[in-house]
Amino acid sequence: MLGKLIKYEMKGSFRELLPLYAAIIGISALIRPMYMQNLGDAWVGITITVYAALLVAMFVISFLTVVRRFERTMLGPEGYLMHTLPVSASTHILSKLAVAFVIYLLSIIVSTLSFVVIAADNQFFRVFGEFWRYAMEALVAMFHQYTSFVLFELLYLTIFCALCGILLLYLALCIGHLFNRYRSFISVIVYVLSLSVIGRVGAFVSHLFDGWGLFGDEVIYNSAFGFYYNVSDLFAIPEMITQTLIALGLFFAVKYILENKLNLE
Amino acid sequence: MQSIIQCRNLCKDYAGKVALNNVNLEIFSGRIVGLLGPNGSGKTTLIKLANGLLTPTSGEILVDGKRPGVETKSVVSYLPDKEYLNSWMKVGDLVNFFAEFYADFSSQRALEMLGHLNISTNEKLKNLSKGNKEKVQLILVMSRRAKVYLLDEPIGGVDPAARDYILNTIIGNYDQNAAIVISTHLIADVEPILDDIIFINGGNIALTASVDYIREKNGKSVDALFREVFRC
Amino acid sequence: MSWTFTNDRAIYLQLMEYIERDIVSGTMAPGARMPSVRELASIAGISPNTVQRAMYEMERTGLLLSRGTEGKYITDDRARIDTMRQDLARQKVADFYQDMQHLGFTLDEVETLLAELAAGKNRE
Repeated sequence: MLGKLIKYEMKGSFRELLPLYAAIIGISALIRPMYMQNLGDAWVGITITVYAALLVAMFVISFLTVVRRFERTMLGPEGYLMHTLPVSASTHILSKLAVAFVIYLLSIIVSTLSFVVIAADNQFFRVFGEFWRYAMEALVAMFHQYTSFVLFELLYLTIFCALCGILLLYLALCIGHLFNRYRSFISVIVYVLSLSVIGRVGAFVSHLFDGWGLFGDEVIYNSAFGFYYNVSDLFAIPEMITQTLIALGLFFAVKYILENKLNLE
Repeated sequence: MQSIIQCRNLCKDYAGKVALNNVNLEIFSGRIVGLLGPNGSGKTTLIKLANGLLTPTSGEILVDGKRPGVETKSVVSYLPDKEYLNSWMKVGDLVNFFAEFYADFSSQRALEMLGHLNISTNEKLKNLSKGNKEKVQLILVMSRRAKVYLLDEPIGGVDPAARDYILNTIIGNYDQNAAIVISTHLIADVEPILDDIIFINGGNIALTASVDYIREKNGKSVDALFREVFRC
Repeated sequence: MSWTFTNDRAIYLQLMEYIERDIVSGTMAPGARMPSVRELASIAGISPNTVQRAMYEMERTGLLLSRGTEGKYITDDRARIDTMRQDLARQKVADFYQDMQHLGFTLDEVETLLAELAAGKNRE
């Protein structure tokens, strides 16, 4: 069922987004010759402005798509179709979350790709290759044998941050749905306030576990920047746990509202 | 006759209003039941509780012996009172959608019925006339082999010929292992196909009886009795 | 089969009356096979449960015979059909006479009217 829902959700979301992404890449291809020939500061200025505007538009539209899809299929008229399917609320939320995450990834990939399309040439790749090698060396110098673990932590936190952001969006929409009037307004307020609350909670937890030396007293020398630090500082385990718990909390809050407080019009 | 829906002391209030007040009733398989009452009487609330779109404030409702949830949704086929299907979808896409999510859905039956009406599977829903849209929604719902069919105002807002078609489709779909609940205020049109009726008013059940009993005892139609009982 | 049902009387009774009329008039032949419950319900535009009840009653009185899985058949007992025909006719006449009495007509006046009607028909 989850797979089927994801398939349907993809069709519904990408119907509008794919042409947009294709357009961005297409326009980047058009910009490329202008950039390559370096037609002068005025042109560069204009093209950069247009390009930046397009990227912003893409991110905004992607964000709005995620919002609209959830709103329409879970809280709007299509809710009659969705909530009478023999599918649990959890499955619904997961399918939307998965597709929203893919949209998030795609918008990042598309923007990166468009940049490459505009500016990439042999020199670009050479410089990029060198930069990558240098970065890797620096990282190992900083983190020694823990490098891959640190990268893993970074990846985990980034992913869960994104998931929390999406789930928070869904929760804000659900909470707005509980009211009869000013729904959008309430959703926005909830979203913005919660973001800052969660941010503070995260910082608090970090601070709480600072300097506890939970993971040993081994000291490492950071040859990249020339100082010593305690290995425990590398372990962002409390942060990872907090982020995971927040994600779970948000998930179950959305699930609760969808299962018990739904009131379709 | 097996009891397929049971309500025990069912109450639902929301927005500070009491929508259902201590409802006790049973609906049996193999019966075509009319849920009749004025607007705002609680008909739609009762139906939404039966298919899990709302949760009771107190009391309980059981479908096929279970609380409404994922399992009951696979045996309940619901036709809402409004346009709820994605209008940019093609008719054929909708048939495939239902086939994918409902194990008891028969694509063959749906396609047959659509064929009889000359509705192309390539047509987008939004390009169909209102009457055809209603028929498509009904066909999708009735092409399932469910245990309970909940039809909310299935013949509202369509011409008499479409009404006949819809009522005939409902009859033709009769299954003695399934109950069909029709919620409507167009009583006279629906009356000939009903076996039992439930009068509901202001969240309370005013009367439950078989249609034959009402006619034999009162010497008048259900429609006439309704007008008496619910006189403004 | 143009059956129209009124909503103020039990439909299964009305259905039975229509079927009896059709059998008596020969529209439905003795020994002929009855359509299935589902078919009948669809044609008549009524609930299959109503059709079922009507068929059950007619089986009980022997007007219909059940041949297991093959379905239901109209009785081929012509004597019985004829009796039913006579009974129906007598009932109609009794109803007619009662209506005429309510209008204030005597039996003689009714007979005169009937004779007029018969003569008029002969002239045509």
